[in-house]
Amino acid sequence: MIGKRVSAVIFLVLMVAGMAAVSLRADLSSLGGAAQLLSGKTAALMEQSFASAFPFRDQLLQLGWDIRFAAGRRQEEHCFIGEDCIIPNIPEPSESCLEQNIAGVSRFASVNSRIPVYFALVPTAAAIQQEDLPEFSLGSMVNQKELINSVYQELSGTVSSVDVYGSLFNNNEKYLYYRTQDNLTALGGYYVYSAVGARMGHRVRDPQDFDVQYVRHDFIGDLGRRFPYARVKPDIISLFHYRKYDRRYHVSTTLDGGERVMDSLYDMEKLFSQDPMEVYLGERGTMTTISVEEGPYNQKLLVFADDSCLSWLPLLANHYEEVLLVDLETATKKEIRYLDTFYYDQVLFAFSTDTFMHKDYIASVSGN
Amino acid sequence: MPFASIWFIFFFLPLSLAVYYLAGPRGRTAALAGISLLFYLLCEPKFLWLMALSVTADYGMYRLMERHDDQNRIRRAICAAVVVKNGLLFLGMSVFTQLRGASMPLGLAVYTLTSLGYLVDVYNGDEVYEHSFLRFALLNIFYGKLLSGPLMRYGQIREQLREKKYSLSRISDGAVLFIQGVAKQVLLGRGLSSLYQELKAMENTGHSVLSVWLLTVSLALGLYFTLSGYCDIARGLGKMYQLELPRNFYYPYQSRSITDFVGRFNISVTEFYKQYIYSPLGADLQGGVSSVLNITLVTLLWGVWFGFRVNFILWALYFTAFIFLERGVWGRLLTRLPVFFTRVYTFAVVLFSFVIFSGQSVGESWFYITSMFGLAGLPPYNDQTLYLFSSYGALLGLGLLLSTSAVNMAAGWASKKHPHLTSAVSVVFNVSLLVLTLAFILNT
Repeated sequence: MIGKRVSAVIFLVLMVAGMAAVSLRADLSSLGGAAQLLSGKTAALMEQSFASAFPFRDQLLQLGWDIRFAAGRRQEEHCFIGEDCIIPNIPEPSESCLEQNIAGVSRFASVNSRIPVYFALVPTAAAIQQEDLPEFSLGSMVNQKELINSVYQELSGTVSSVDVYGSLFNNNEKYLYYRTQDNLTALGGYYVYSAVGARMGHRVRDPQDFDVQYVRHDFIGDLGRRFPYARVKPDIISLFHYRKYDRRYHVSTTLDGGERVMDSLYDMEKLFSQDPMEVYLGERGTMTTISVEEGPYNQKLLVFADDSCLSWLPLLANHYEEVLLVDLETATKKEIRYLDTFYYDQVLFAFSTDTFMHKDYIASVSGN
Repeated sequence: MPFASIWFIFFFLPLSLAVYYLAGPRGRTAALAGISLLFYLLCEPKFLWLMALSVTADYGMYRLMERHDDQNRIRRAICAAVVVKNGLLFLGMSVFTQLRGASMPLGLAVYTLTSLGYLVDVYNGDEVYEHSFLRFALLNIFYGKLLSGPLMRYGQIREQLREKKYSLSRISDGAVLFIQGVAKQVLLGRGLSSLYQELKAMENTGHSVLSVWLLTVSLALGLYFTLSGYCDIARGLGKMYQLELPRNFYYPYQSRSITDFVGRFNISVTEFYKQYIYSPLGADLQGGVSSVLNITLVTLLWGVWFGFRVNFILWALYFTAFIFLERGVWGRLLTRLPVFFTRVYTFAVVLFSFVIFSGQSVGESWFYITSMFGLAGLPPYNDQTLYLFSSYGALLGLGLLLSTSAVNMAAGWASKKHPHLTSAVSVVFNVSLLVLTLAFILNT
């Protein structure tokens, strides 16, 4: 009986103290008036507001996760949370997206049959870092290798496919993917570059041909911010600089109707911005042109890719005089139609498997 | 779930308790009715009118019945009108929402059936006419029980509503029960339901024999901890407002027969149907076909409580069959068998019933049934199942343990042997439980 009374007193005291604390800290202005109340959203908005202002919130979140982790949980919101990294478990492929994207790439290659077209699907960490996944979890995941092979099979004869999977998987004990963001590190980018470069007929440079600059050791990516309680170490951002010869790079990007020009492949100002990944080639626009001065090559490359290219495109750019990177997600139909493909010597499509399976904008490349 | 939320625990509840106790003995019924309406307005404003209209109409009807107390025909007509209105509202909305894939208006089943029960009691002379609209309204709309019961009869709280004194021990009992109810719902109910959802989302080809068994166990335990958690919350809140609400679950998974299980699972609903349907229809007294029909009807309604779906009806019929088998075939044998065997028998039968409950169609249930016994060509286990088992195994084990009275008995024994130590441990336990529950609430 005494135990119950003491427990109840503690509960009531905590309740009142908690009420005082959340009332002082919560932003109640978003709750709105009668219209909000009648819409039935008030309770949810109150919860959002109070929960974010709750005292010791971070510590409680940490405790909750630690308990679940100790009890065997390794997955939250479709992400595997391990001791060393957070790996998203990508959802089952959307058949319609796949069909549309394959058809789009195929049409583009047929129309531009004069130019060699290369195609690379870059697997996500879930397919490569299998050692870091919880035991028995592979059975519940999309078999990316099988999917990549089937896409390559469907596109065979129209494009030249690149085996990026093998290159990454053979080095999977290395730091290929960020621990707190689902993207390739600079080293991961190097192995994609080595596979893509070799397939496109270039002499791939050895790792020792590059100076590696470690520019941040405390990078916490979007997954790390989404799961702040996961006890995962921050990431390292590094930049590869080709050490031989004295090439000069100009990167120009169309942004909001204007053009931004940089004299480097890396925008160091972005290193501590909201998205430090913009250090690679700067802020992303629809069209990004990389021009290489003092280089021995005069070929021009047209690239259609998503963000998975950021780590390896600066390396591949060494083999060209000019590279145009097109973001199909933001490109308008008009912009795509007016692309002068004959200006380029090679075309490369490179997307992460996740993008290719779930975003249908790639199909727009055919101009339809 | 509105109770397992920060805004409710740290804003609505303390403020409402302050308002309730500041209102004093005279104003507390009005205060609690007002608090209940405010709660409904915050959680489901679009159906507030329905609740208000239904309860007010019922109040008007029984006041009309009182006015014609000596005219049996009118009384009968009024009673019939209320029974039809509330019965249709409950069943009609149940079917309508099922067909539209929507959820039932909050508390509809509770306030329609409670009001109906009260009117039948008054009609039969088992209950006095309550002149206070506020007391009548509070019986129906007390927010703590709206979500999932328990169903109450007016006689159970009549005197409590008139009490002038407050009991501090009742408040402390209520606070502890509330914490434990929220913990049960959040830590166990939600976790086990999430395992069930993951298994349910699997393609048939992804299943294994083990996964179907896991699906059944997770549903049985998840449903139990969610519903009994709601009920503990309702009882805890009731006590904090000086109201004693009846228990709704009493360790159903350690029942010694199916008849026993039906009496321990959703007790207030079973009692309600017995009181207002089974008994008036003649219960068992007439024997034969009548008895069979009465039991079948009550069990069917017991299933319909969860929704108007073919599988719920089959689930109820499955229990009806076992009730009859126990009555006519092996009931006596069960009383002679050791407790362990009767409990295993009941648990197995109940567990199997949840395969029927979980299916969205008869075909899906049949697939689960055949899979459980390895007749659907599925492997005994696969990686996917082992992964889920490794993720939720500890929770399942804890759920199985806490679904029995073993821990409660151990605590009872310890409090007799070492009362002070047990008190200290219980304080640490309850505070830890609260902190842990908050951590899990914040995680969602």
